[in-house]
Amino acid sequence: MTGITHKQAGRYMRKALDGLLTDSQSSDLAAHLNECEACRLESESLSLLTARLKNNFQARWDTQNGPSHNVIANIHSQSRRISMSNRINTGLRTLAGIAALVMLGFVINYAVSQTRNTSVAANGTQNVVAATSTFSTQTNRLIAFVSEQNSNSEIYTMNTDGSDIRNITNNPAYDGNPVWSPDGSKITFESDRNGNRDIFMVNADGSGLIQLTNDPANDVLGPFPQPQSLGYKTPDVFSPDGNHILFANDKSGQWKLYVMNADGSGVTQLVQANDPLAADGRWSPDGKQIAYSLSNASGLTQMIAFNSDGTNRRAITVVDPAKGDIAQMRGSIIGWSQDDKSLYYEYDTGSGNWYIIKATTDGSGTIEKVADGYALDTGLFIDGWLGSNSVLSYVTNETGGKYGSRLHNTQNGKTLSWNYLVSCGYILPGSSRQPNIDGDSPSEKLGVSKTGSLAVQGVSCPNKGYSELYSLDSNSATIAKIAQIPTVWDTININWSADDQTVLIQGNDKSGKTDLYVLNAEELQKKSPASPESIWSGESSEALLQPVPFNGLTVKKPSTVVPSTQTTSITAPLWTGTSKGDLIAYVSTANGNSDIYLSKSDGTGVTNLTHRSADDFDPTWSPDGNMLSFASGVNGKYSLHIMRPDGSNEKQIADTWWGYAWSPDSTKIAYLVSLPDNPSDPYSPAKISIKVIDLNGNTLQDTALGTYNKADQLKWSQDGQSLSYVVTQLSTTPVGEVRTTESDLYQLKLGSDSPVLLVKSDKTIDAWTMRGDTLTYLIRDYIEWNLFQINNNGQKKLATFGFDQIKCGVGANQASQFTYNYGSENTTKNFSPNGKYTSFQVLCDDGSVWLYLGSTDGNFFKLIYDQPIDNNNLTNLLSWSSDSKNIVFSAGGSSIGNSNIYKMNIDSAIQNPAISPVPLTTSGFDEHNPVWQPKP
Amino acid sequence: MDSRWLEQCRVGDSLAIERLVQTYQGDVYRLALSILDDSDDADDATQEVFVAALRALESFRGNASFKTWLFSITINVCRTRLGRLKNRGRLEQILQSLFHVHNEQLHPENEAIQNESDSALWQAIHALDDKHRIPVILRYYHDLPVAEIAETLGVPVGTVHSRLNYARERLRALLKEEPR
Repeated sequence: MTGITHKQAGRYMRKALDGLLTDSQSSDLAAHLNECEACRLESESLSLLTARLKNNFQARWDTQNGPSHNVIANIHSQSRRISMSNRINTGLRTLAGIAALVMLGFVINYAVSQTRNTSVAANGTQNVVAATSTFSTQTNRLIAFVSEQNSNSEIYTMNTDGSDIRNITNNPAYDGNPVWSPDGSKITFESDRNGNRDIFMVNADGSGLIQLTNDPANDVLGPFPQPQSLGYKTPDVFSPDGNHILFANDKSGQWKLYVMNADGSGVTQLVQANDPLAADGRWSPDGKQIAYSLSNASGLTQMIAFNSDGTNRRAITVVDPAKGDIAQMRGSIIGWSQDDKSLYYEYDTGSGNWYIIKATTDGSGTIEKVADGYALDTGLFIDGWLGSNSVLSYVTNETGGKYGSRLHNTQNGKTLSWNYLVSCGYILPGSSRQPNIDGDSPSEKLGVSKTGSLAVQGVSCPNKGYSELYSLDSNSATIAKIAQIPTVWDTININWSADDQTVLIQGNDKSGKTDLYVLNAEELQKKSPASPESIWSGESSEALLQPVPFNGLTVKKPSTVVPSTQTTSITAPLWTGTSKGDLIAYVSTANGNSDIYLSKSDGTGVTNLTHRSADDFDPTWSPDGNMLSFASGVNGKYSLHIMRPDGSNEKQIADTWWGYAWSPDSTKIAYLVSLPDNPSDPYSPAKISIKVIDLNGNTLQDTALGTYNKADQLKWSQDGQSLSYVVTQLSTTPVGEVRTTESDLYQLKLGSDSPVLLVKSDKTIDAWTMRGDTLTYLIRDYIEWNLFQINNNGQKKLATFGFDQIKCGVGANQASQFTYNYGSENTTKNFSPNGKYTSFQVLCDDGSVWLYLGSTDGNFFKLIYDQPIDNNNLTNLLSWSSDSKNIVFSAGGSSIGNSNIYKMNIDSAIQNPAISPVPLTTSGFDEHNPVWQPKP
Repeated sequence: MDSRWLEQCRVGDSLAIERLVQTYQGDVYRLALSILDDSDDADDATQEVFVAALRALESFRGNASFKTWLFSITINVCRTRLGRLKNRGRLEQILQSLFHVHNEQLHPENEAIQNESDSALWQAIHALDDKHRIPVILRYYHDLPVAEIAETLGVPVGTVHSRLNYARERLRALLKEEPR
């Protein structure tokens, strides 16, 4: 026998399967297998499994090579959307979407105000109102809506004509799930601003913010999760008098239902500790009782009622399948009777039969069947409501809604009237019906008026390429098509004002684009379908109509765009030509898209230089500090623009905007042009050329440089007579990893077409700088950087910065948690203006990001030693002040999209490692890519 | 990594995005399909992955291949979707029990499973939890080296090895029970 045991052989076999065996282990294993038949059988068995797995997977999936739909087209439409929803939000909304398979539908709003807000751009972005406007006395109803237009979920309000959009939450953390108080004066909402989900309340004008819950666990307003994949149910948050709020908390590991006073006091848990998942909560009309349904994991439902102070918990129905009772599955509450004595609810039996029950809520167990049906006959119960005239209306869908639905109006168990709702151009039942689907299922959503006399149903028609709105009358069963909208909605929401005079319809298409419509009572009575105009287009997960206009607010609205600390410092154009070296240009998304902003180096004097809906980004100063160049999409395609630092004299000077460099005299710009041989292959070689233009865009030189995988780091010589750049050749390893095989620094004299090789390396040249005759450059090796210098005295290595010197963590807890496999490191490709420092961005294994400086005298040190900032998304785009004493950089935000800009004094940081960077911007909007004005 | 494209994508150049998607959509789709096992869901997941990737380009670490990075996003997207699918699956069961719709009609690709032996293996694979099934799919369908699986899943190499070991032993045990 060989030197390894059977047990070791077993381990080696499995290591071999995973490619983890060393050469010597491999030969040991081979020798052992040669002699041990049992191990050989074991090895064959493992190999057989491997073969079966591979064959099986290939047979199943190899025939399908790519997505069937046009991913690119869809991504283009979505790439501007930045969803910041966090885990709770995502879970709730997405699962609610799944429930749409049965209760297919979401939001829409209706409306037909003919006044369209002209500030709303076609692509859904819009400018928020100016910071100085005041909140006028309302005569108009408001709409509260959630939008992520600034890369962060915020709650906004607007008028029902789409005008006067205001951000009322204005916090970089998640804010969402707004609910109007019954009197329309306040909005409760959820926010993560204190680190976990809590419930807040704010006046409709954004003033008077109070935090209602402050529990370390999450508090939410609903919808609450349901078992059995029924999605989420939205409870009545406010009691009818507005004095109490229902909410859920997850500290027990499950969502449990609670009630509190509207000021956050008197929190009482309603469900018992061992109750299954909490569900929809419904207040009785007098506000004295709450009913809710409890469903266990099997879907068995029980209806519970209790007094609104949490006392007198009683079961409305007691069903025990073990004793032969028919199981009540997936029950949901329809509503309370007007006399507060009975509850109407619906359930199915798991076999296709469903029932609507009226049950007394005093615990006596008196129940009465009001209606029933069978899925294959009458269709599934979809939704129901009780009118103030005690008419119970409900809608059934036949075969999952594919053939249309049916409205039933009943009273005391007797049918008053009924009617078919046949949508999407399909034929009436009874004739040869065709399913209402061509691949996609329709979405449906019912919105019932407060009095219950009328409902609006939204239906999307993928087969027709439009969506429809119907009105459903709960007395006559009259069904009228009231509108047709040329968009196939994916989700629909409908909500009514308290006086039944206005309804808001929200339709979101598959790309996430939202259209809001407001319809008034007249529109609902129209005989012929209208084509209402949307009052607002954009991106919104939910929009809610203020139930009643509230006239009590005349408070001045605080700033919604620029933080109030900075608002006061906005002045007339700053540019005087005298403040050189003291300005910082950066990109901010405070107006909903990227604009170039300018501030003084102390963070004051913030002004937006490119105030427009197109994106402007990537600012760069001319070396004389008199001009800013930047990329702009204002002409439809990103191109290079220049302007004075007050925003004047702007012009486009080149089609490209990437990889350019200003000449030292600020009169010319050079840039690299790259034409890939195979545009569909990201690693294909490209023909690289260099182009030099003047500031009017005239070409001064256009020189082909050769074919390389990549060219970058273009810089001018100090005398402005030559240009140098790095070209890189790459190879792709068998596992698809791309590696550098050659990295060369070339120099091209102006007017010449023959580049001269300055440095040749088989490792990546990460950064370089040339001062006079001295070239300093940084080479990245596998586990370190090496800093070299070449001048008339020859080449020498100045320093080595090893990855093993990188310390992660903060303060005294710093340790090396950086591994090449999991961490990452980037150079900024920028040396300090004095040529002494180069900077590095380091991502540690734990996800934290740090800045290091390496100096030509060999020092390698961490700039941020203690936990001074939220260092997420600390970018490697940092910029030096002219005197090389300060840097500016952006960092922060748990998600990309809300970085702030920081300044740091290098000498102070070296002397006192615990010193923190100074924040220059704190707006909560995404602010990044700062560039410090040079001082010639 | 070709920064020429990435840096353009990073700031939203639509042409660069288009190239990026064209280049990787096949790989991403196959990975999504192999985890979700539903072509429609894989379609949607593919789109979701690219949208997520384009948003997060700034966080691309640069030392792994772009494909590995994209794969880890794909896994995350698919895990999220799996949760939803499971819920939807239960819902479909309810509908099916009501309308007697056969599962095969909803999933025509099931026809690809022809012999009983494969079917048994398939059931065994599905009996694994995601933690163990996803490494198996990455290793045996996508042929990824263990180191790359580790990077994709964000766990140490040893963890991947032990998960694969567990999965193999579990599969063998389950397959031993299959009728011969």
